[in-house]
Amino acid sequence: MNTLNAVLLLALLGGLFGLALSYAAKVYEVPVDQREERISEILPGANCGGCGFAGCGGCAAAIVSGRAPVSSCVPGGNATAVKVAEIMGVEAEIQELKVAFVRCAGGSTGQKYDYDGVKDCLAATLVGSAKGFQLCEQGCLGYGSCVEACKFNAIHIIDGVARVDSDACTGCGQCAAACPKKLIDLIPYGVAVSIPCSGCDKGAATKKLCGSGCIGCALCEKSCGHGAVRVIDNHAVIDYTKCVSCGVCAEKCPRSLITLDARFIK
Amino acid sequence: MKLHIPGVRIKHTLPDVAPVPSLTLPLPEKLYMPLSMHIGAPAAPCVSVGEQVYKGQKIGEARGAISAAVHAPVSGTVLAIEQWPSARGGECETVIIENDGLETLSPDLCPHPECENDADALVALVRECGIVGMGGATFPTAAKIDSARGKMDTVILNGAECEPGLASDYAAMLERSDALLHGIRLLLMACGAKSAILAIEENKGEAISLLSGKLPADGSVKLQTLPSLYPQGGEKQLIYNTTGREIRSGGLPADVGCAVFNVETAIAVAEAVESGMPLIERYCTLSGSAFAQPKVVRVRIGTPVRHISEAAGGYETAPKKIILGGPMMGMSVYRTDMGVNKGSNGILAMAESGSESERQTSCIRCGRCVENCPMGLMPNYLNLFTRKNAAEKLQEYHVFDCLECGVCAYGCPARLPLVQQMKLGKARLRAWQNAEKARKEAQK
Repeated sequence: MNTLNAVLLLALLGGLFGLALSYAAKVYEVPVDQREERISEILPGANCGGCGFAGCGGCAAAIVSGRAPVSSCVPGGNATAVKVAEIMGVEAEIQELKVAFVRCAGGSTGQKYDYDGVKDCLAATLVGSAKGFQLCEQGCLGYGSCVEACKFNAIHIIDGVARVDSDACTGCGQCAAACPKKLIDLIPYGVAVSIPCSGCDKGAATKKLCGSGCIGCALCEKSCGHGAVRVIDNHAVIDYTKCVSCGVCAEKCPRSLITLDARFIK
Repeated sequence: MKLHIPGVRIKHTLPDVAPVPSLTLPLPEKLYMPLSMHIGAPAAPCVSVGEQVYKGQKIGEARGAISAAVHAPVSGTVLAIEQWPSARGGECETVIIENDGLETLSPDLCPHPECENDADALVALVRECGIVGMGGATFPTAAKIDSARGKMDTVILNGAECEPGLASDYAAMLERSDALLHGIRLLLMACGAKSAILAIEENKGEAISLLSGKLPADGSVKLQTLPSLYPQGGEKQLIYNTTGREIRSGGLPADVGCAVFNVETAIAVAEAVESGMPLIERYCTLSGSAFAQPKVVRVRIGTPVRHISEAAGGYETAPKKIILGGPMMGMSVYRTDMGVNKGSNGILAMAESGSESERQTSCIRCGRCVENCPMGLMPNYLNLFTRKNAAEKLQEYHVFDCLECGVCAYGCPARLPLVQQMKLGKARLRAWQNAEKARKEAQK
């Protein structure tokens, strides 16, 4: 008899609490936009901050509330944008895939002074010269502030210079923001040629300062049949809206500076 | 009386400097006048290349309220106006003057007796003469007086010598004691304050005995002897140690009714009234193991560092490191062809670089940096947050209150580069704040 009472009492209490809980859930329900949750699931979840919002959750909330476009997630690329657009019921703009590119090949022949402070690029520009300790004032300092900023393990310091693994890079731009020398650009993915130099010194001076830098001879500019290469501020710059990835400029470069990615030659 | 804000007694690795007699150096052929040698907007050049200038003639006009005029320290010709390395780091617009050796005075210079009792006229004169705080921080003096007029009761004169091993303030107090007392009277009048405290560290005995005999009879100026602790010359530390008043984080001395002026600033104010001479000269201590003998020199602003060390007798051994300013807060420079500025209170040349980076180990959480910090900060955590780029935490732990005095790094048994981490932390927090602001605006 006692056992039966206890079981009944517990069943009764359980039923009452269940009813109370289900009632509370209805009355105090916090409306959640289902779309926000679904978008959060689609986003990569790296919380890289490339969109400018606090993590992927912040980005999803911004997209749903209309503060950000459906293509906000740079690492997610077009595939993510299309899925997000579907949830939001709009058309996604197809964006060109971009990757980071470091405009320095290293090779500075020396340093202006001995720097032995904090091993961080920004820290190195806060004392001594604002342009850093390298003889070439534009050159990469090699302490890897960009490496620290990258959430995708796509940039590394190799032989004292930052280099991008363009297949791992998602083009989120965090490295570019972290570089105190503003050496990192976003360029289209899949181009055959790139010029890793941004030195502003004249040719003869560059030869002294750097073993690899652009001397501004303009052979690339003359050889380019599409007007895509121009020498600006004593270094060659490629206009990727005109470049057809033929690779002719790289063959002509007397410093062998212009890098050629054989996979993408057309 | 009351507890002193924490500080450390710095072991003097630098020899004691005899403050007097100070040495007046032969003038250089070329002077480099940076147009940005004060806190605030850089001055706008008001002379052109090739123009003849007189000693004391204005060559740079103050741009806005927080800025200071720049004057020609010698007579001669303007050779160029271009970007040149600056003693404050980086490059800034600089007027390069070729000295003609004639020392022709500008005809505009004249005594200003009308400023003795007219606060507005005095502030205008101080602004016109380009006077800035000469303890090293170089805040425009006219702006300081203006921001605090009528709000304060006490003017504090900083004769504590901002850094150990320097004797520039000491020399100024001994050699220019009459001008100093005149300057104090003028500053009291301009600020509308009732009393002044002349704060001198106890290791400057000659200055204490000389000045205590010269104080005005009405008792408006009190002399206060302070222990030789570092950073005694910091504005907030000095106010606390003399009056017991504390300034809250982000506040100004005027909030507690005080204004702090360096003794050399007061002398410059007196000189402006007595002869109309703008700020073109200052005391500078030469010290460090590369010099045969440490000494105090009078230098014209804009004299290249190289010229000063050569004219003062040259180096005994080739220096490995040259620091502008004092041993604790000075900046090491990599070029000696830049002109000294209004805040250059010392030039240190070290025969050895003295860098400790090879001995760096890990933080052992001894807390010595926390115990010593004169601002009550926690450098151990700030170091961590900087390394982790945790900007919000840096803000929460008040990294901007750090005055980069170097006491934390001085006492650190792990030899961590804490001051540079604070500098980096401030830069990171500033970048984060700008990004936040931009984001908030974009969201609107």
